Amino acid sequence: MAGQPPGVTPGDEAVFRVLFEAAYDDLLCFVERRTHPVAAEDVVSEVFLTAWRRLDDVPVDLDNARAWLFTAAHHVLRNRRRSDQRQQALTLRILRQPGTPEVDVEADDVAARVDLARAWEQLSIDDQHVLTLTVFEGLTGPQAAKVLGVSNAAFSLRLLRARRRLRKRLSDVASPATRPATRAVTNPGASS
Amino acid sequence: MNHHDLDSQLRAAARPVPRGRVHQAPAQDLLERIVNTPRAAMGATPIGVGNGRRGIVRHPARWVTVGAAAIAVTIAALVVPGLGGDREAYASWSATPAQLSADDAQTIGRECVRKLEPDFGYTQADLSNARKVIAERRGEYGYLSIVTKRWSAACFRDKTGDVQYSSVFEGQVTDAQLGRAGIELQGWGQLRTSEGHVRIMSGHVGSDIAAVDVSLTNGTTVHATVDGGYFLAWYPEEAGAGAGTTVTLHKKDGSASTGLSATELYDAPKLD
Repeated sequence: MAGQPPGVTPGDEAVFRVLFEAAYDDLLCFVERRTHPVAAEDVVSEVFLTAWRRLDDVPVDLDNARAWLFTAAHHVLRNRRRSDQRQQALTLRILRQPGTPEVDVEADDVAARVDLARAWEQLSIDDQHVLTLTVFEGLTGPQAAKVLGVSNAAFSLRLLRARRRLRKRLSDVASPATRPATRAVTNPGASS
Repeated sequence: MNHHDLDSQLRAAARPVPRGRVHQAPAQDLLERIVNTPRAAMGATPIGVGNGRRGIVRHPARWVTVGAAAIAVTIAALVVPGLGGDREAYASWSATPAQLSADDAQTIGRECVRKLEPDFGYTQADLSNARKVIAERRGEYGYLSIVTKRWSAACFRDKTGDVQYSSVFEGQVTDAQLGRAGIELQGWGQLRTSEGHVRIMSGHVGSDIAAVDVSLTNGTTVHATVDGGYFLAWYPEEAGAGAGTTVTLHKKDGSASTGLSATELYDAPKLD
């Protein structure tokens, strides 16, 4: 390389390139779930720029580095939402992690998917957040708790309640094709 | 349906996203732009993002610094003012603020904006036209908050004279939205100095608010500086701590709102 900007070592750049390569797709998907796609790349750009400038603070292992980036993105999105309510997603988009194969035979049923999508839309944004961090983004409880700035215990409780409410909504919206199976395992009095 | 089944169904119902967007032109352009940017202002902790483990493997040359910082944090946790101990770290800190001289405020403000400029594009002209610069001194330390129409930022000068910024904030609520007794916590971050971490706070309060106190979980009450509808305070705090900290708003009529969670206020302002 001909020359580096002030304060940058070749090691810094190599480390950052590895991080960028490994986490870009996941971070973009994280942001796209939570804001308008047009704004997503701007947010991703801001987060990676922060990571570049704070590279010493980014955890060494990829799993925790990914969670660090998500936490930074969460704060950028929150700041932007407060400055422009139009950017606030009314519901979190349910997007798969990039590259996840489409193979689940049982869930491949179109009616079941429609029911889940409808049940999802009826959840509060907070419930969608906790479920998304766990189900789609694959964070551990402590990692997800850190993203939201709550204790591990509080996150576990929120997750438990969100799952209960999703089951309840799923029971309520189930189409005729899926209703019997769903009802058979749902306790109507179980919602919190 | 157990959790695993529910999670599997959710994943199956989700819309597929292709992998490999990192190799497309927008991502690669972004990468090249970033790595050609100076890594400036490396002392401040980003808003709300906790400190991760430092680059032990990637930056062996910094390992000594990392160790020193970790030790400093430990010491700070043991001897922060108000907690007893040998009062070494931040020994001159006080729970009640004193006035920062105009010269010091000007020096800190200019240095802070100089560091903000490459990261955020904020300028000395912004500082000159600031809506408010509120400042305080606690012992050897200077702290101020710059509030412009578009942004606010907190600037801290440690005992070595190093100035760091934190809690850069845009999208402030208006005076009208805030009302007479509301509060917007604009700054709620941590900075690290050679003595350990500090919690920095800054914000905007309604016209009826005469004083702001911060109650820490160890029983310490920190009296904030309040001036012209803005406030600020800072105190030594262990890295990652802060849960349970509350804010009390004292109104001019003598009444008070107590037990306002700082973390919740940072998530959303309390509008009157």
